[in-house]
Amino acid sequence: MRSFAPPLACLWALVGITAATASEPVSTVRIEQAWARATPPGVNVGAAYAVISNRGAADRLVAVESTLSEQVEIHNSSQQAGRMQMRPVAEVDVPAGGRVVFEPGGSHLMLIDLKRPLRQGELLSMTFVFANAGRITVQLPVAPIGSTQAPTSAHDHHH
Amino acid sequence: MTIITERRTWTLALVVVAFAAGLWAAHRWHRASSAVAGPEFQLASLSTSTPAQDFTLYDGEGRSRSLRDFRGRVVLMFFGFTRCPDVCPTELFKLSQVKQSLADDGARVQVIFITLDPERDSPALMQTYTSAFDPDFVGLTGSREQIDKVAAQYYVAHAKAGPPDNYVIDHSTSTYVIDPAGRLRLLGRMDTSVETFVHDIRLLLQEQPGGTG
Repeated sequence: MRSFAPPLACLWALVGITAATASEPVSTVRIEQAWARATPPGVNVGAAYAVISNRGAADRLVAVESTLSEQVEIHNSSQQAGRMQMRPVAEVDVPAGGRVVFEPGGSHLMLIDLKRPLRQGELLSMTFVFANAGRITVQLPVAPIGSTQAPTSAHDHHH
Repeated sequence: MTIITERRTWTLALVVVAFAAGLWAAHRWHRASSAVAGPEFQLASLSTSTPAQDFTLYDGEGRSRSLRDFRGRVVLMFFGFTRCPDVCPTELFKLSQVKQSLADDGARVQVIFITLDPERDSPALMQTYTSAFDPDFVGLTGSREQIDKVAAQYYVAHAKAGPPDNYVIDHSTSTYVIDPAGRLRLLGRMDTSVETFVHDIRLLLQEQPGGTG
């Protein structure tokens, strides 16, 4: 029986760690349906989209970063006097129990000074920084150029 | 009692017959009127009879191109700039889907993308950019004066915004649909579906040369 003790101890330790992790406050902010669009060669800007959902208290998105671009701007789009107008905003309120939607033709995340074009099928790492929830890093699948929706699945090949 | 009941029955029968006859007549009239009406466009129709305003700009190889060079094809014309992160790729991708959906008729459709940012969009860059959506798309640029003139001809509102080294351009987002005879006929919008474009382009391609405007 003695020989079983060390593995058993390990098991209990593991359960303890898991329990400790689970009991820590879990962020109520989630990044869902995040994706980016492939970019044409020669153009060093791109766009990414996501839905931020918040099941907890009000928070604020204060910055977005990406490993493949110098800068990421949060853009609001609106129709003004017949023109589509987009403007960078410093931060975005994420209301308690609410959602913030970035989508084609609307608000979006503009990737500025891309180090190289984004290629369809690859993953782009982006970090969303919140005032309360902190940093959340997600991997965004890259959809075809101009696509208006997230890639349906990683196995969806187009030729 | 019998007489009254009989009269009532006759009145009722008369009303029923009159009603049925009315329905039949209305149905016949409706069928006849829809038969004579022509096919209907789903997009905003401009019904112009004069050719669309022509222009001369430069394509990806630096050759001068005019709108009249594309007679015989339905031209889909959109204004934007290559550093446009969201709207322009969305619309150009949609137009590439429209062309694909038209299958063989797609060969009779020409997409033209005109830059509103000639300072940054060189002919070579326009070529690379439009080719990423469809190798047959034509990207046109020119001098600032030429671009401003074309934009004014088509009532395209545009203005630079933001820092000088990293500006964006606010611009109108209509897609101009020009028929094979060179007349500006329809206006598409950002929210116009691929299906709507395909429907209306098929109608334009089916029109007889020199037909209705």
